[in-house]
Amino acid sequence: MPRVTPIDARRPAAWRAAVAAGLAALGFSGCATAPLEAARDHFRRGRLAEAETALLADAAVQADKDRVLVLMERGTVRQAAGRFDESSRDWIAAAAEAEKLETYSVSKGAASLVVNDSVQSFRGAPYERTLLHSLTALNHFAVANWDNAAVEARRTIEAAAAPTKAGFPEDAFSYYVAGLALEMTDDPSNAALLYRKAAAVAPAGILVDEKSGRVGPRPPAATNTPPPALPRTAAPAGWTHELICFALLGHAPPGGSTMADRWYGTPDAHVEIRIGGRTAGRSYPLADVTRLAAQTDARLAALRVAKTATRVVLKEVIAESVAQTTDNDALGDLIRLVLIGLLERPDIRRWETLPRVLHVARVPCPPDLRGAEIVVRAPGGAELRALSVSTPLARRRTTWVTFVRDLPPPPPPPAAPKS
Amino acid sequence: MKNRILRLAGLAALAAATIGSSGCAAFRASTQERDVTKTQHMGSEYDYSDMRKVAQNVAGAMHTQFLAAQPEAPMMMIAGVQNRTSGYVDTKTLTDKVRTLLIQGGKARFVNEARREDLLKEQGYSAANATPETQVAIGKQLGAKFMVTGSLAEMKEESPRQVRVSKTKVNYYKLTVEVTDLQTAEIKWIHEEEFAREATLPLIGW
Repeated sequence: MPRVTPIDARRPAAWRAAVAAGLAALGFSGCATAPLEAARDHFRRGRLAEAETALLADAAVQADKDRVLVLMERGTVRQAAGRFDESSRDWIAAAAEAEKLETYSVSKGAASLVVNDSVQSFRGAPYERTLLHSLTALNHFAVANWDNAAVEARRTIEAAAAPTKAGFPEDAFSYYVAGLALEMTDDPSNAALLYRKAAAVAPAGILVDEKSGRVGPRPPAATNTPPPALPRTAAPAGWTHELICFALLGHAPPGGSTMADRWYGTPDAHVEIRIGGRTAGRSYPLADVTRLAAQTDARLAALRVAKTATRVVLKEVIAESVAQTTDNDALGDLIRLVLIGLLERPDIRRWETLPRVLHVARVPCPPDLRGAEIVVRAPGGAELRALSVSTPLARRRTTWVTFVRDLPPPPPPPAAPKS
Repeated sequence: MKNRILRLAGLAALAAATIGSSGCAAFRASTQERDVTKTQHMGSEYDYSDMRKVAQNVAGAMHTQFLAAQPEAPMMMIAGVQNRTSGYVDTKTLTDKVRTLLIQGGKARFVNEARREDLLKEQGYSAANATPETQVAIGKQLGAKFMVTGSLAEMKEESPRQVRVSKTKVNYYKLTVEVTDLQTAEIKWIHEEEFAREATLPLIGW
């Protein structure tokens, strides 16, 4: 039955309250989306300077609830640009901010129940917080700061062992990086422990040798006997040293993309390491960020559904009670439209400048290594592109360490107009 | 009823005016000097109070147990203290403090191993450009007899996951410092400093 809305003295106050609530809700949902999106787009196209500029914009720097995300993305951009110390500073700050967010904010938690989950500060998924440490360790490798790399190794161990991490996916890449950091700082027993952990969670068909740290194909085994040790790859005489190359390929899926089975595909491309025109070996994938994101989403699905259902019910109760209190259906519908139609949306924030697949190659090399050629190959062996790497290249005793991020080359500067 | 509401509103306004006029310190940015000699901890992590205390203890122990037994102030060098913790600890600050205390005590001498490259560069410049009477002689640097090394290790414990509003963290630190004879590679003196601290962190906040 249609309700007749009487004009009474209470209505203006109710309208004001509803408008104030709407504005407050919209205010709460404000974030650094625009500069983040712009920076990611520039990054994927190889325009690193523009990406960094976008992340230094006021909207990004002052974004309180997206602070960790901005620092994560900026660290990736700076790492790809070869500014390893600045990248480390961003990531160390991001880890410190994320740690502070362990304290649950009652105000933001309550706001998330009437607006959406985006009003809460971004802390990063457990796999993102772990990768934060392993990628920082790569920066320390790049500047040959082995002790600081070991600090990140210990933080990786702590992050992986945190009680809140139960049920979330683990990645072999982070364990491997931590193992190498400890191996380089003369802690072989703990390094072996981490290589063993890496082997336990490595993708199917990949073996990490806990004693030597070598990575290779897992031989087929009919029983549960421990796999044999991986032999050293055949190498020319005089190649007495080892090169460990971390290859960061592709791009992580954008936030909000459906984590369907199509993302689960076996990591396919690999890189071949060439030194002085000779093939030294190839890389093997240790982590697929898409898979980590999908498994994290699956772990959180039930929790998210329950929270969304509770929130929608609460919003409906608010809209209905406003309609009844003011005896105004139109106002109730308007509040319903704002709270459910406009503000009800999933939290799709994710560290999007992460690579998609993280590879490791451990190959023999000459003692006087000056650089290497990294050839990205398709599963069938076809050469996709070749990258020349001379920095970063750090050495400790007989081990060289480098890493490469596979990004498109920056676009050439515009040609000067012909006079 | 109306009077009561008015009275409450008046009290609230008075409280707000009082806070506003007095400039409640909690709402203002402020800076104040701190006495670094007083022990103050903000959390369970290694901090400057620890650095100062540990450096004084190490220097004191080295002074009384090792240097006092030497016939003369030996020439020493500090190779560094390895950071084996999960925090970014500047162990150079610790060794600098120990060296300062030992030099001030007059029982040890140190070579400046951290500035060797700068020294050689300056000597080369001096040999090429300085007047003969102010040039320094090449090959006259003193060699160290003992090397100081060490490591700072850490162990952490955290209260288990359960229904709680705060979590307790315990951090244990152990600093080991050793003095090695550079000629024989024999460890001549070793010392340990250890301490643990507990801190409680809220899991729920505003």
